[in-house]
Amino acid sequence: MNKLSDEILNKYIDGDLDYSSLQHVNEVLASSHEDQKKLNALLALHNELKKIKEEQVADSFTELLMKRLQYRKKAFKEQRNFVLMISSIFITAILVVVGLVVYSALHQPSDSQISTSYSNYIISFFQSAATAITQIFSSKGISVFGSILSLGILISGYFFFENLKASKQNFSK
Amino acid sequence: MRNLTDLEIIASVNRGNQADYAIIIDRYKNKAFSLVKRMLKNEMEAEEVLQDCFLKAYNALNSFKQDAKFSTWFYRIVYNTTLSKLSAKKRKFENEMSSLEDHFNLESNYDFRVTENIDLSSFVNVMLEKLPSNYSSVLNLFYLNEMSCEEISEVMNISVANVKVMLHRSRNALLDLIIKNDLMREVS
Repeated sequence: MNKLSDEILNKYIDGDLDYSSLQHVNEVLASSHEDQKKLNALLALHNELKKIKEEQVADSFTELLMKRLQYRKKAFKEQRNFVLMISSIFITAILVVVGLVVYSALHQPSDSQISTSYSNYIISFFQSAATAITQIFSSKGISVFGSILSLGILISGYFFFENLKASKQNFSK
Repeated sequence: MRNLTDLEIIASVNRGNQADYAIIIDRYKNKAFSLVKRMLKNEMEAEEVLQDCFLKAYNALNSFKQDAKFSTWFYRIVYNTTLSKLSAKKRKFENEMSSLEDHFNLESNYDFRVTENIDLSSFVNVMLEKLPSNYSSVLNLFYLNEMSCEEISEVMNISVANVKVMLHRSRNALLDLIIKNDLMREVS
């Protein structure tokens, strides 16, 4: 009959026993043939487990993976360039609108032309700018502006979707 | 040429030398594949999952804190990705994880009788494929990847005590099967 539990034997193999427990186990092992046999069996299994086979992936694994990484990097670059391009178009459009506002504010005939003081000039400039913005975003202006913006978003969205689709196709190759 | 350490390779990849990542892949692919395959028990799926793991690790390389070992960090990604795959397949792996305190009876669930001449080594490899995923993971990480119980606990996100319990139970279950199939004649 075994005097040592499975847990103790496992701890013995893993070197997890303290000094006094280790001495006790050694004493029991010296006197118990059953325990010695069980320990030998466990040790044999332990040694077999150390030799378990390493599974092999396909030879082309690394090559395929590196290709996927390259595609991904390329797709990321393409997407970034596309987003940059769209952003620059929108920024340019905004700058044009701002430029128009400033231009119309500077060239609008008002009382400020009569005024010579600097503060009056600033105030009249902002008043003119506000008028120009109001004109642009008036009920007629806002619909034109909204239409252009929606069209821009639709077109860029379409190209962005196509770009993503192409990247995905490349990626899955 | 001297062998570069993992950290040196990662630093190089982070500097923009993407090709150096192939060294990391070659270094870990087979051991990681063994783990994934033994968890999923399906070669094709295992290879797909492993590719995803390497891609995930590559994307997260910048966030890798160098106070931990790369292997532990990487195997954690591998283990978690495989777990996600398993849960997607509804294999109730989480039940297995929480069943540590339940009655563990590998013998009845995985009764394996040797009908032909099989040696101990082949038997152990076959049984590893049949073990529940979490038990085969512990054995794989401990013996094949030569990780300590502390490292395994980090990878699997369980306590060191639980790792040891799982390790002991897996060994005992395997041993019972070996004795039952009279394979110990080889070593006695």
